[in-house]
Amino acid sequence: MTAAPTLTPALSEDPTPPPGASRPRASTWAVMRGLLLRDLTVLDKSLGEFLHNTVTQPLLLVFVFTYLFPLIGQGVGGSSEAGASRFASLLMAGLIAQAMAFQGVFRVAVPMAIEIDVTQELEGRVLAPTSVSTMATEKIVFGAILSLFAAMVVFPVAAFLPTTPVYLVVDWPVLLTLTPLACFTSAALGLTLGTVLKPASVPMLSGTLALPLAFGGAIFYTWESLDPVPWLQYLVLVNPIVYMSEGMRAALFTGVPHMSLGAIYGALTGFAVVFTVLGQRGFKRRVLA
Amino acid sequence: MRGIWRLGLVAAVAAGAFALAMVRFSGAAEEGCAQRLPEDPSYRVQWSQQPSTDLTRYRLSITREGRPVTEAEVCLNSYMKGMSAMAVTDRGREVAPGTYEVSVTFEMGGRWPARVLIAERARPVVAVPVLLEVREAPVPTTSPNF
Amino acid sequence: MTDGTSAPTATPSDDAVGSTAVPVESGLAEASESGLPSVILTIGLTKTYRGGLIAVDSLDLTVRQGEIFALLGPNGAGKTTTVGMLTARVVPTGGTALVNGVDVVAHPALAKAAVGVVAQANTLDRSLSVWENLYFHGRYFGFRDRAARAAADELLERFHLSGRAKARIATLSGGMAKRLMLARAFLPRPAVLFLDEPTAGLDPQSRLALWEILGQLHAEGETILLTTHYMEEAERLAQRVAIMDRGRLLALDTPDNLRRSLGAGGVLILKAEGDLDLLAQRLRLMRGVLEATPGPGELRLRLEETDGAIAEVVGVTSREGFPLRNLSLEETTLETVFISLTGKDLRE
Repeated sequence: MTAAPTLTPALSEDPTPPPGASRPRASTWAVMRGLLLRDLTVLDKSLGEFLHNTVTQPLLLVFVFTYLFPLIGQGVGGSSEAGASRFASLLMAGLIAQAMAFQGVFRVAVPMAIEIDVTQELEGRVLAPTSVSTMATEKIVFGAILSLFAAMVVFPVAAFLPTTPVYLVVDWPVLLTLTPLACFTSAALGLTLGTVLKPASVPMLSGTLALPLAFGGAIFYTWESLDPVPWLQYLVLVNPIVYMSEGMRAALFTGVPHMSLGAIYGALTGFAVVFTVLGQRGFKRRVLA
Repeated sequence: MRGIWRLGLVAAVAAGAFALAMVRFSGAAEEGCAQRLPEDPSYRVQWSQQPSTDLTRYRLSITREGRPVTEAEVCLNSYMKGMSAMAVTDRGREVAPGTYEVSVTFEMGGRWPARVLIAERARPVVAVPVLLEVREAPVPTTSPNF
Repeated sequence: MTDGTSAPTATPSDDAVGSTAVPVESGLAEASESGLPSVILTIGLTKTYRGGLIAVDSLDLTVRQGEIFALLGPNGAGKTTTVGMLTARVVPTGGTALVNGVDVVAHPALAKAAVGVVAQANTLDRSLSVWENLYFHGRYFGFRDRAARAAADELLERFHLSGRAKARIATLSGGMAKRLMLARAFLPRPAVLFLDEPTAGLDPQSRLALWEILGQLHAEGETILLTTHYMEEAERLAQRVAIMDRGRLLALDTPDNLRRSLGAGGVLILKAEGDLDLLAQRLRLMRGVLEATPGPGELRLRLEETDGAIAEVVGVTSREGFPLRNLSLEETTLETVFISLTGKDLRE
C-alpha cells in the first residue's frame, strides 16, 4: 500500500437509511435462516470430506459383516440363511442409529469446541441480533439435518451391496417420528459436549467416548440378547444409541426383536429434553460472561 | 442459494438413492411366512405336544370362537429369544378338521416367540402370536453318565 | 449542576491515588444542552465478577448521536467490560445500560440490532471468504439475499477490499482484517459503532488508514465509541474522552478541556541546585504557576500557559540563587492528565 486507502464517496442514490434509522427488526426466523445458510455454505465447501465420513463407515461395516463374513464362512447369526438375514437386518438398524448418532454428535461438538476457544469466531456470530438460545437451537437443527442425511445414506448402501438379503417392512408412522427425534437428540448431545469440551480433548473424545458408545449401543446385537449378562444390559440403558438402534429395528423390521416402543420413545424424548437444556445452558455460559 | 448448489446436488442424489433403495427393499418383500400381519385374538392355537429339539413335526389345533378353523393355509415362523436362530415352516397340512401338521425343527431348547399365520377362506390373513417353551431333549450317549 | 459554561469536570489531585468520581449531572447536562438525543446512556453501570473483582464500578456515561467518543485507560481499566455490557456480551451486576433507547439487559437481541462491534481479537468467520463474511452478516441482520449481496459488494468496494473478495481470512494482514471487521460492523448501518482497541497491534500505516476511515464514517453521521490506551488515538479522533481506571470513571470531557484543566502550559521540569522545597515555595507564589512539586533532584512546575512563563521562571530561579542545571517542558497531553489523575502511566 503506497497511500492510505480512503473510502470512495457513497453513491448519491444510496438507498440505505442513515445510521441508526430504525429498520424493521430482523425476525428470529430470518436470523435462523441466515445462520443455517452459513452452516450449509461451509458444509458445501468441505463436501468431499463430509461424504467420505458418512458413506465409508456404513459401507465398510455392511461389506465386512454381511458380504465378506458369510462368504468366508465367518457368518454371524447362524449358518441358516434366515439367521444371516436376521443379523443383516439388525445390523442395518444398528448402523443407521450409529450414523445418526455419530454425525449428529461430532459434527456439532467438534466445530463448536474449536470456535469457542481457539478462533473466537463465535464472538463474531454472537453479534447477530437474536437471543443466544436461538443460536444454540440453530446448531441443533443443523446437526439434526446432517444426522438425518447420514441415516438416509445407509439405506442405499444396505440395498445395493451384494449382501445377504434384508427384508424391510417399514412402519412409516414410527419411522417418520422416530428418525427426527433421534437426529435431534444426537445433535443436542453434540451441543452439550461442544460447550464443555476443550479443543485439546477432541482427539481423546473419539477414543474414550466413541468406542464405548459404539459397542455399548446395541449396534451389532439386540438389547434383548444381553439377557445372559443382566448387569451389562442395565448399564447400556444410559446410552441413547441403544434406543436409536432398537427404534430403527421397530420401524423397519418385523422378525427382529426390539424394546417396547414406549421405552424407546420415552427414553429418547427424555434424552432430547435433558441434552437440549444442558446444551443451551452450556452455550449460554460459554458465550456470556 | 447459488453458493450451495453442490450441496443441493448431493442432497438430490442421496434422496434419489434412498428412494431407489426403498423400492428395491419393497420388491424383495418378505414373502410367505415371515410377513408382518395384524393379529386377531379371536383365533386360538393349541399345540398337541410341547415342542422339543428332537421332534420335527407338530400338530396345531386352530379354533376361532370355539369352532375349528378348516381349509385354511397355516404356517409358522419363530425365532429364538436372544439368539439369531430362526425357524420358518412351509404350509401346514390339514390332517383333521381344524388340525394342521407343520414341519419345524427347533435347534435349541429355550424360549421361542412365534407367530402362526392363518389364511382362512374369505377372511383376512392374520397372525397369532404364541410363546413356545422348547424342551432340550437329552442327546443319547454311549458312555455312562457321570 | 454546571454553571452553564463548559467547565472542566476533571478533579486532579496531587496524591497518586485515583480521585473521586465525576458527578453524573455534568455529563447528562452536557448531553441535554446540545439537544441531540443520547445514543448510549449508562446509569450506575457495574460489573462485579464472582470472587469480588469489580471490573466496572458505577459508570455514568452519555454518548450523543453523531459523536465520536473515546474511553481512555490502561489495560484492565474496565473498558472492554464496559463495551461488553453495552453490546449484550457481558451481563451487568448493577445499573442500567441503554443503547438507542433500548435496555440492553432486558432486550439484548433488540439492542444488538442497533449496534456494530469491532472486537479487539479477530472474530471473522475463518470458514468463509472475505465477501461471504460481509454477505452473511447482512443475512444475520435480516437482509434478504439480494440486499445482502448488494451491501457486501458495496462495502467491499468502499473499504478497498474488492481485490480480496474470495480470499480466505487467514491470508489477510492485520490491517485488512480490521478493515473487514469494520466493514462488517458497519454493514447494517447500526446506530452505534463500538470499537475495542481498534488499532492495537497495527503498523503505523494501517493505523492511519483506519483513523481515516473512522473519520469518514463519522462524517456520514455514524456514532462511534472506541476504547483505547493510546492517548494519541483519543486526542486525534474523539470529540469527548472518558478517562477510566480500575473500573471507575475519572474524567469526562473534550480533550481540550481535559488538557486545560491541568494547565495548557504544560509541565516544566527544572533541575537546579539548592533547596528545592524552598524554590518550590517561591515559585508557587508566581502567577501562572499552578503547582510546584519537588522531586528527587528536580522540580515539576505546572504552568497555566507557556507564553512568557518560562522566561519568568528562569528569571526567578537564578535571581533567588538556585543555579539552573537543566530545563525541559512536557506538553500537556491526555497522558499527563491521566498520570495526574492516577499516578500511573497509561501503558502500565
